[in-house]
Amino acid sequence: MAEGGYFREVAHRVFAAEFNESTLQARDGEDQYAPQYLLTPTGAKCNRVFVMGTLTEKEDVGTDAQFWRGRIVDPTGAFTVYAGQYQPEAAAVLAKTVPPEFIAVVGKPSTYETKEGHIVTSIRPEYIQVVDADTRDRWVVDAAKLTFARLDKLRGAEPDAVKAREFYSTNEAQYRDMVVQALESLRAQ
Amino acid sequence: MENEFAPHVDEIKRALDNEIDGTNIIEDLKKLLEYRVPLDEAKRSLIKKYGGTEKSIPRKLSDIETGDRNIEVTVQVLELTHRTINIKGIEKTIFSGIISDGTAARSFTAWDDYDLNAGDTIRVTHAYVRSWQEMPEINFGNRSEVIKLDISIEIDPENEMKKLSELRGGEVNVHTEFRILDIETREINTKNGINKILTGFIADEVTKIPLTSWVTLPELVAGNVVGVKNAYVRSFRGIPTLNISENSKVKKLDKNIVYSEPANIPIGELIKRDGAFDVTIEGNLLSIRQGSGLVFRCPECSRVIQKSMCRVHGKVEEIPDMRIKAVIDDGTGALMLVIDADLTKKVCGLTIQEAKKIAEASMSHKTVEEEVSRKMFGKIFSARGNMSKGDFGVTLVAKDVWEPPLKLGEKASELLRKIAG
Repeated sequence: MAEGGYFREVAHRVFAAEFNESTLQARDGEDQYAPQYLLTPTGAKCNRVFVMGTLTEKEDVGTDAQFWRGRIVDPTGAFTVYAGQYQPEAAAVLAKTVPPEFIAVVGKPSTYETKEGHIVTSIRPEYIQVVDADTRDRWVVDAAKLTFARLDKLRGAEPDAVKAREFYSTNEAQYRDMVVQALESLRAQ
Repeated sequence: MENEFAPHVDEIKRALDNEIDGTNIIEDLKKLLEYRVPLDEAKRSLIKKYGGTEKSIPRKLSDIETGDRNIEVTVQVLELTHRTINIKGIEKTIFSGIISDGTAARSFTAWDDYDLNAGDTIRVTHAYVRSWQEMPEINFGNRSEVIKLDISIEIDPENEMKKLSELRGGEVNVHTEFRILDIETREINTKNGINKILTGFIADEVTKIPLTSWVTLPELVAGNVVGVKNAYVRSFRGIPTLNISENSKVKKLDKNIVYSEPANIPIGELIKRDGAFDVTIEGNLLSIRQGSGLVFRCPECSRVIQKSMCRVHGKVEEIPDMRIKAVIDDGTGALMLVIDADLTKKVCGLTIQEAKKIAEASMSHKTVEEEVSRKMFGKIFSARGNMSKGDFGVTLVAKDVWEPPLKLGEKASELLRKIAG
């Protein structure tokens, strides 16, 4: 029974700086229903992410129906989330929340290639909710812990680590600094 | 060509006690093969055609697999229960229990009365194996013959001591040591009237599992450290239970075994196991599932029902209840956490009465679910309970849930030290 059966995709904790530098999309297998992943520079293979930060801006960019774009800031950068008619609950939360506010997002990573060939990442939320400051701070510690754990394994032989290393030539020091910066921001308060 | 068939023909003839002319068999076999019948199937059908029965193949219980048929086992009956079933309007008594041959213990079902008793040693032919609760189960069907033997099954006394964490469902002749944490007497109905058994929890240094003793022994008292020889293990939902039978030897030991409460297990590691007993996890609640909050249950069967209609018991007086089904995720893995009414009250501050008021005020049960989600989503919780796996994924039913202490500065400093190396 250990094999097969249903397993929910884990939600990876990634900082905005790392998420926004992720460009490698991959699928497990050829099947059109195979889950899609975004591989980050430290080797998080994300089918789902869990992030928290401060909602600083929001805008309805839809033409006919409402289509909300939100900017969520963590200690390292900003996530962009888009919620439209297919994410009614999340769109409703974005519509009624007045920035600034701490916010938690579970969602699917998505990427978009601009005409110039830049890849822009965003999150398509499954669920968004306003949270308190303690919960947000806790997420920073968790994300730091998990990012550091990935950095630790980056030189190892795990397929995701090898792939990330080869594709991004990951500068470990840069991401270690990012983690430190995030943790220091908590102590500064 | 003829030579090629010879061994198969011999085999068929043996199965038919050589009562048949070989040339006929060759003709028939050739014909079947021309019609693209696989060789094994062809042999089987010819044996049947000439009125023979295939010889059973002797097997060890440790080797049997689901789908095996026509096997012969020599086993001892460890446990036996019977129940009456209804097949197409005809009442029939079937027997089931556990058999062991020294290599493994397996459950079995006998579809006829073979006058079995617990403790009997029997040789069974023409048995077949079906899957029951993901484990192979031996079936004695109408072709089976059961012969009682006057020998006892040899059980190797020199089996090594095992840690509780090493025990797997189906193992027999298990030697182990543990402390009894908790034990109580229960009465169960058996064929021979009411029997007293003991159930409880035992632990060694790192593992805690349930215990069932089919005999009451003075050594089996809470707090005692005991050594057990020749026990066996059954698994329920992936969680092994140690079973002590009348054939087991139990001895009180003069040593100390202290169970240390386990630290949090990463969910990614936990979900690789088949099941787990009394484990603690910590993670964020990432999704409050539909059907959380206020629910109504049938008073007869506890099923969750809608509009006072139970699909089994019809119109009933519904009983309000509260529960939360939520995805808990710690970044290494995710599973479904189930929280009952008392624990919902503890972590959410909501009683069933308050939940009912909220639902009535808004004329919708969904409001309670939203309220739960508003209070719980994204937060970190610790949960302790049993983990099991099913078709719909991995579930942990909480015995306790709490918000772990914050300790933010401490954790941040510790991490920074680690990064600085």
